[in-house]
Formats: sequence, C-alpha cells, structure tokens
Amino acid sequence: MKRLILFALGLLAFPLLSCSSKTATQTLTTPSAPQHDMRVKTLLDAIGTNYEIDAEADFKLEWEYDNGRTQIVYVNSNTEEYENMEIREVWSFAHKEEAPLPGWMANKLLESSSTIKWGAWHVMGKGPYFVVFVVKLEANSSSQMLSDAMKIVREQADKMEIELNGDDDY
Amino acid sequence: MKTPFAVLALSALLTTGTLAQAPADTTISMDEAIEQLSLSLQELQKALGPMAQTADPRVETALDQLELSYSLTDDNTYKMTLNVEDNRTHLLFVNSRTETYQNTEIREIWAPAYRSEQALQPHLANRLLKDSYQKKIGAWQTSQSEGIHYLTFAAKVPADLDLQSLGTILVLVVETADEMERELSDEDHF
Repeated sequence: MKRLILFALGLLAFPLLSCSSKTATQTLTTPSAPQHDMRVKTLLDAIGTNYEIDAEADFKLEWEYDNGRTQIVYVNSNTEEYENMEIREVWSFAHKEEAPLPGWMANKLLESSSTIKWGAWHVMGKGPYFVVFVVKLEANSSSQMLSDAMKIVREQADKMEIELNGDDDY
Repeated sequence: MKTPFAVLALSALLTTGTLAQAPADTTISMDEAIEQLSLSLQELQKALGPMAQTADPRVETALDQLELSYSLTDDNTYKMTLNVEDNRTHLLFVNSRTETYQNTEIREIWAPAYRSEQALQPHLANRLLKDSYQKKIGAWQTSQSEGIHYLTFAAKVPADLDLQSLGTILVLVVETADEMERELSDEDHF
C-alpha cells in the first residue's frame, strides 16, 4: 500500500511541476526510490549472512541446502504500524496457482498453520495467486530472533513447495 | 501518565454491554447455552494439541496488570470472555504452553470464529488466506476434532512480549475473530 501511495504522489507531483511558471527554472523530481531499512542491514551483517537488496528495498537471501535445493527468503524493509507496535514481515514463496487455490489445498494450508510453531500461510496476489509463508515479528527484534524467523520461513516454504509440486522454483 | 490504548480498549470491552442477553432475546435456555459452549470448548481444546503441565505465571501477572478476569481451562490455557461491539461477547485464549523454535519462545493468543462439520468451502478458505496477508498481526488457521473443523484467528508472539503489546494483541485478536464470526454465522456462539 505504501508503495502505491508513493507512486500516486509522484504522478500527482509531475503535472503540478510542469504547469508552474514558464520563466521559473523547472526541476523534474521523480519519486524517490524506496530506502532499505538500516536496522535490518545491521542485523544481517551481525548474523554474517549474504543478502541482496531488491528494487523494493527488501532484503533477499538465498539458501542452498545439502540436497541441492535452494530457497529464497525476503526480509521487508517496509514495516507496518499497529497501535504501539511496529511489525516487519519475513517471508518466502512456496507455490503459484493461476486460479484461486483448489479447496483441498487452501484447507490444507489453513490446517498446516495451526500445527506450525511460528508463522502462517498466506496467499498474495489477485491472479496469479502466490502461496507464501510469513512470520510477522517486531521490527526491532534481535538478530537472534530474526535469524530464527528466517530459518523457520525457509524450512516451511521449501517443505511445502516440495509437497505441492516437487519443483524448486523458489 | 498516558493510559495505553490497549488498557483503554480492554476496559471498554470489559465494561460495556452485559455478558448475558435478555431471556426474551434468546432461543435456548441459559443452561442449554452453557452446556453447548462447554462441549464446543472441550472439542476445541482437543483439536489444539497437547496440554500444558502448569499455568504460566507470566501470563497471570500480565493479565492481572491489565485487570482482566480470566479462568483456566483443563489444559491450563487462560480463558477470557470479553465484551465486544453490539452487546456481543467473545472468547479469547492465551496459551500457557509455549513452543520453542531454536532460541525463540513463542506463545499463541487465539480466538475461535467459526465451526463447521465440513472442510471450509474453497472460496472461504481462499478468502481467509488472502485476509491473513492483509493483517498486520496474526493469521487465520483451522484445526479439527471429532469431525468438527474450527476456524481460529491466532497471533504467535514472543512469550515474553511486553505488557502494552500484549494488551494491543488481545484486543486485535478478539475483535478480528468476532467480526468474522458475525460475518460467517451471524451468531454469537463463541
């Protein structure tokens, strides 16, 4: 949502700037690129793990397992505020469907969430539909907690990816 | 000192409305309602897994500080009945049993929202998974016991969460579950 608002503000700002006095020096400003959260960078550097920062300023970490499979985990720079709390998502893709999930799969994911110690299954997108495993944790969590969150996220997402289609797309 | 939002919200939940509806507004007797609710809770507890050996005193301290009334279920889960909008009430549970993943100790705070004898309809199950993605905290999940499917809204949080955040989450969980119950069944079963 925050990204959509920034984009919309950028669109609104453009015609206003271009309609200003013809004699004035015109300056074209573009929406500033999202900034990565330095708090995450500090924690990941302390953990000593490799990462990339993607175009949305999220931290992208790829794990390679002994069996040759890989799994990508994202740590969002963008956080959500709820009352006194600031929440950050740590998440990973597990599956993609072009149509809404079949009933058995959606029910399986809901039931799976109740048996997993931490985190839950979510679906994002309006077609295609992406199954993602998400842990929502306080933005100022310790490096240890972030490390634990990344571990359970990649484990669960990779396990479900194997179960649902056996591929290694994510 | 500024009163935290969670304490104000919890006070409102506890002091507005009444726990019981007027007899003329109910379709079953109070005894029948209590019996039905008790049976549902027993089934729900079975569905939610192993029991805690003892009640967690950390939860008791926090709930006392939030001035919440509670009781303990057979599996030492803290159970509260909170008043929500439109003279409705809703059950809220804080588990004594915690789960440890690596070095992180997690506690579940949850509220039931719906029960069904069948698995959820595909459109509903999809909707709940998408709704979880929109939620800043918590997610929908289901569990089964004796052929009954229970839908609950749960927040899995650090076991030593600070008091103010715990209060905030209690309000969020109970309100989210009650909204969904109202939408799916238009009843006040939980």
